Amino acid sequence: MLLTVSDLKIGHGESIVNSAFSSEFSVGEIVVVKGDNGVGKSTLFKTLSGLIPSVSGEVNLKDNLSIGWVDAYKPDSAYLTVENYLSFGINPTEKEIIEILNKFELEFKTDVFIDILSDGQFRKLSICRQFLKNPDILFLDEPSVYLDVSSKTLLESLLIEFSKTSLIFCSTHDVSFGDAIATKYLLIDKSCIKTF
Amino acid sequence: MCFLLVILTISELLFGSVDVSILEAIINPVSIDFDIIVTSRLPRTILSILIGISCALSGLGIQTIFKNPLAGPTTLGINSGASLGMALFFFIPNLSNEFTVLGSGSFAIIGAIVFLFLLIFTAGKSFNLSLILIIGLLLSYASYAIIEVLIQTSGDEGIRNYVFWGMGSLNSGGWNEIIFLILYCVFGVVFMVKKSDWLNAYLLGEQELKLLRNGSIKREKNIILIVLGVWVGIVTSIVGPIAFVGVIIPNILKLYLKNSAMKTLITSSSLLGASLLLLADLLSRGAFFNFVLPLNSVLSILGVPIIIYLLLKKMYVVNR
Repeated sequence: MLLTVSDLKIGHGESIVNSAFSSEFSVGEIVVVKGDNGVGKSTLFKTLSGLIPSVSGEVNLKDNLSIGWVDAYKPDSAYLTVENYLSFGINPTEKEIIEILNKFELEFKTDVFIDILSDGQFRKLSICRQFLKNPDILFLDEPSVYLDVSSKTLLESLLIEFSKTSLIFCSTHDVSFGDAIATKYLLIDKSCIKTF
Repeated sequence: MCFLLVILTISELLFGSVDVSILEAIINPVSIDFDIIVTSRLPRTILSILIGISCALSGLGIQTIFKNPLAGPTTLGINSGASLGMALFFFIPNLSNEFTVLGSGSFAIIGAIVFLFLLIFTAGKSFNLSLILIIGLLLSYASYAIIEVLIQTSGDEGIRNYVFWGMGSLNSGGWNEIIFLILYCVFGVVFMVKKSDWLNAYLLGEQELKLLRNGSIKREKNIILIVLGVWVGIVTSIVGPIAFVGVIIPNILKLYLKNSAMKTLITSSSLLGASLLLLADLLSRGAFFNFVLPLNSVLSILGVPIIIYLLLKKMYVVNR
């Protein structure tokens, strides 16, 4: 098991769900997370990835796991190029960068500044970065927002391929996108968190 | 860029209010030419290069930590903090008699570091781009107000020393200061190179950094700020507050090299920063024209249009 959760309660200081949650997750799974706005999907991701502590209960990650994360955040640093964005902290080869951009059908040069990319292009680029990082667990917060239909279909197949070597958590309000990739669902509301 | 630096170094050695011949100096070590080059122009050249490197790199570091392209020792008021430290040193009677260069230097360093942390503290976690510049500006005003008060209440000698120092000049460095600065520059460059991977990842946001690296981000950031603050303090105490080099050099390079990787920027900023300082010094001491200008006037006249240009260019990029 890559990730084991026992009697978990999540939140910032006090629990946002009433009952505790236990489950196990392993490589090859794509867990689609559903819940209303503000119910705590991001908080759950942050707790599972170890970015914030749990309110109670335990999250057991295998040692030295690498974690990938995609959300709406765009770095506010000026003059970052596509190449900078893809390579900082990961240091892939030039070939790997070109390959991943081709895979995502992104057709721009690596020396353009990320400020000029559209929201959709940047969303795809940020998934590229996490693929290059090749994490054991990948958290995706609404990855299909801003994407056109063909990009969504492409992302579905890429995620399914990627899940062969990783565990993927993906929150989405897009029902068809979620159904296309899910091997498991995780439902979160005020009363409880449950998987099915 | 190496080529540019070499040309400017030779010009700095050759041109000045007195014409000298380098050939004469090499052939005849007791000539006046030799004397002028070795005792006056050589230390000035070395100091220019060192100050150029220091300003460009401390500016680069501060921009990165504050994630603000317009941040720098001048624009954030860190120079002013160092100036306030120096003013306290000059104007408090008896103090300047007891302390030496090291004494005034440590006042400037403390001033710079106090201002850096005041900025971090007041700007909080948001690192809002304009907010931090405004706070820097206000801190500058506050420090100059205090300096005015100090000027009003102190003797002639202190005022004279302070005013000359404040204009920024490469005259004031002796070999002791130069050697000290060389040592700190070597340390600073090595430090920046060592931290370059961390700084690169820092540019992508704290969350990504947390996922990539273990260890406290705050602690790492504080260490880097202290090293940079000391650097700004040392430079300011030796040659006065140097304007704008720290802001314009890294920006021009990021824009035209189309690369924000730290290692590339450290090398290129050092070269271009040293070149700019040599050029500004050549202009300021009347090597080309027959008049002498304060170094900071030259740097500001060169720097302000470039900053305005960069601002407009940046807006263009964002709004396109």
